Amino acid sequence: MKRSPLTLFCLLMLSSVLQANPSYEDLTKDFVVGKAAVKSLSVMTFGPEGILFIGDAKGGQVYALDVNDRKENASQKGFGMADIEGKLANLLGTDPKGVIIHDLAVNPISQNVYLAASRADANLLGFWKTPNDISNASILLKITPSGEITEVDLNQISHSKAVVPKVIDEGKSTNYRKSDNRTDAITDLAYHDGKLYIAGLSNEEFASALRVVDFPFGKKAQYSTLEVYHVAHGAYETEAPIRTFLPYEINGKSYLLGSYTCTPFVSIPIDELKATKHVRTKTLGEFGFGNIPLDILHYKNKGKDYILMSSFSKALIRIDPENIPTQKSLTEPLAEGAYTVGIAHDVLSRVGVTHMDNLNEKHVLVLQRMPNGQLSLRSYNTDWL
Amino acid sequence: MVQKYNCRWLFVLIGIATSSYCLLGQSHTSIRFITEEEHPYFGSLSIQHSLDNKDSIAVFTQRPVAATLPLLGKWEKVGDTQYFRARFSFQQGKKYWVKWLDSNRQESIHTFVVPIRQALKSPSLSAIYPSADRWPANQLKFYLQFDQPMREEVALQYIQLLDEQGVVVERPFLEMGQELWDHDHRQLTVWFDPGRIKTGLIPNQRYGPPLHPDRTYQLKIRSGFPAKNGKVLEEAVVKTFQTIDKDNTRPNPGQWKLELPMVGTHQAIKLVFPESLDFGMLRTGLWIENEAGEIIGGRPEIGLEERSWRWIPTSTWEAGFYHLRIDDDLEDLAGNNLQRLFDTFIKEKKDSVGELPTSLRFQVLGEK
Repeated sequence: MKRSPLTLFCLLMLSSVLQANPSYEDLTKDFVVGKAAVKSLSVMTFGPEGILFIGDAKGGQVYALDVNDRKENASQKGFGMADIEGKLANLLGTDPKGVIIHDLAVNPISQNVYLAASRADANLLGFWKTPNDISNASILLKITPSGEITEVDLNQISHSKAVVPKVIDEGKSTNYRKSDNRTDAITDLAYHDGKLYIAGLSNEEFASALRVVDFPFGKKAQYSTLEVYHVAHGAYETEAPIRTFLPYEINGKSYLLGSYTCTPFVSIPIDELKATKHVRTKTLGEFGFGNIPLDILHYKNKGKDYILMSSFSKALIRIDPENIPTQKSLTEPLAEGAYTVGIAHDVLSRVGVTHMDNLNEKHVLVLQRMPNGQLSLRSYNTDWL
Repeated sequence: MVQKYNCRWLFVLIGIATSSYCLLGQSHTSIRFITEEEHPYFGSLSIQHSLDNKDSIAVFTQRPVAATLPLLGKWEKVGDTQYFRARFSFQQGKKYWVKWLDSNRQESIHTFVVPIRQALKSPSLSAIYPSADRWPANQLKFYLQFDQPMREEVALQYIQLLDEQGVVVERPFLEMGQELWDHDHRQLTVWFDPGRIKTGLIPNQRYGPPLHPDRTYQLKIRSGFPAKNGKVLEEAVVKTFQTIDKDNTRPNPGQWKLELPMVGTHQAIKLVFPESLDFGMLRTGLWIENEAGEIIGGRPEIGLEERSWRWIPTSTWEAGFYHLRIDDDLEDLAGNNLQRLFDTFIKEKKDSVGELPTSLRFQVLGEK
């Protein structure tokens, strides 16, 4: 899962000018200690002060967990762990093909790695069958830089939660992956400037939705429906959810940059997201049909910013954000025989990467299927990305 | 048929023993997987260990080496027993390793296999063949079909023939060293004692035939007949039948009525017999070939009281000539086949009927 170091930076700058930076105590003052009754650890991302946000698609809620993990780690080293499925199989009492990893998030303070996992049949996964289609992730694991793996006990944890409005009903409809649409009720989360952004499907006519909820939780969530021009499909669409997105600032204005299945890359100005508004996203590029995007983040390579996206079926996609302001909106179908169109992007020599997050300023941590078949945690130095 | 399912969750223990008792120096360790549902630690591992320190015990999914991570789970100590409840339940049929250190820091490794849990169902009798209620007095055999695999070597304890007074007929069935079960132990073939059926043999002379004409009998399958899963037939099943005269004629295909299918359809070809034929032989003893001698794919259906037979082809019928082939072992209820009578003297090889056809040619007509 991505997060934005820029976000933290912005927060820091803003707060120093405008207001006091919300303290750990402020952010967690409404938290209660007890069971976080998460039904599915569908997606997750870190916010400030080591608070882990969980999107629970099945439960239709978001949780903010204080994972009690705020010891600063300033290391700029990479981290790796081979055969993560084998190790999880040891812990969960099964075989490596009996483990599914649903999401990954790195705590930016401690650099501890968090995994959402389930004990389920990984043989059922496919290009069009995602982990959340197969099972509900039910265990949260923490991996320290020294390689120790422990469970984060959700039965006794300081947390708060918020209801996500109008999530799509369970058991009413299925998607092209032959899965209940409810599995896509929450497809991604991002924290930005005191708000949690939640993508996924609603029960409205225009199902694709983006909800915005203040954090700390308490106020009712804002709610927008989304429409995208889907170049590969040659149509405006409102049914498909954003799969992954990233808050990002361009020329002093905040945007959400994200991607849909099959695989348009879009931008949404954050100030357009007002309550119950229907937003038409700007299609910046088409990265090729037959693909589901997974994670998006940004990093600095020798001082220059890049956006990096992982997906099910394509190697890592790199975008130079300098090209975003000048990219005109795509509104025409993909030309006959074409595969990609729009904003320039590089396809990096890194295949098999599923989930990823910034580990530190110098490294991106990825879950990567290796040539030997093992799924490993690996770090890539941003100087080489 | 009354079927009673007294379902209960039970454990079937497979393969390797699931408990052990080890003596190691001064310490002893007993490991057991708890299979009793009423046990408060049902589904957990119980380890009686002389050491207090649970850190000296761990459970693994593979033979542990230095890097192998132990299962996540909770340990609880009750009395002298440590209970380990795995974070995700132990998987049925899977082997696990337990490693512990005794007081001398000696390492021991023990394995256990989690039993496969099944809902065990009592067996029931799904059918008895012949299904007709009138059997010839020289009835040769019958078939019992159960809904699940049954235990061998006990059948005759549970099968009785009762006469009109309800008295058990003494030893009417052939007692064989090996019972005649089909490959999955659901169908049992039981023979009346042929030595008592065949005229002139010593058992026949001494004890008489097992069945006499014009009487009413009861075939009783007693309760308690055990299935392979350990459950038993809960209620007795009784089939009442009347005997008619002995059948001393061979089945004659020349007397069968043939109903032909239409070209271009999947219609069945149907045979109607003037008498009931043997259920077991009807399943395999008839098939269809084309003029080239190639067997036509399809499936048979046996009709009411085994007096008819249908063959539904896999492909639609093409116009042309076909052959209904008949296994010359095809029998009627008395065991008479196309070649010979069951109860006949060796010298009298044939009855007066002569050679019987083992093939019937028929034509599926094309459209005019």
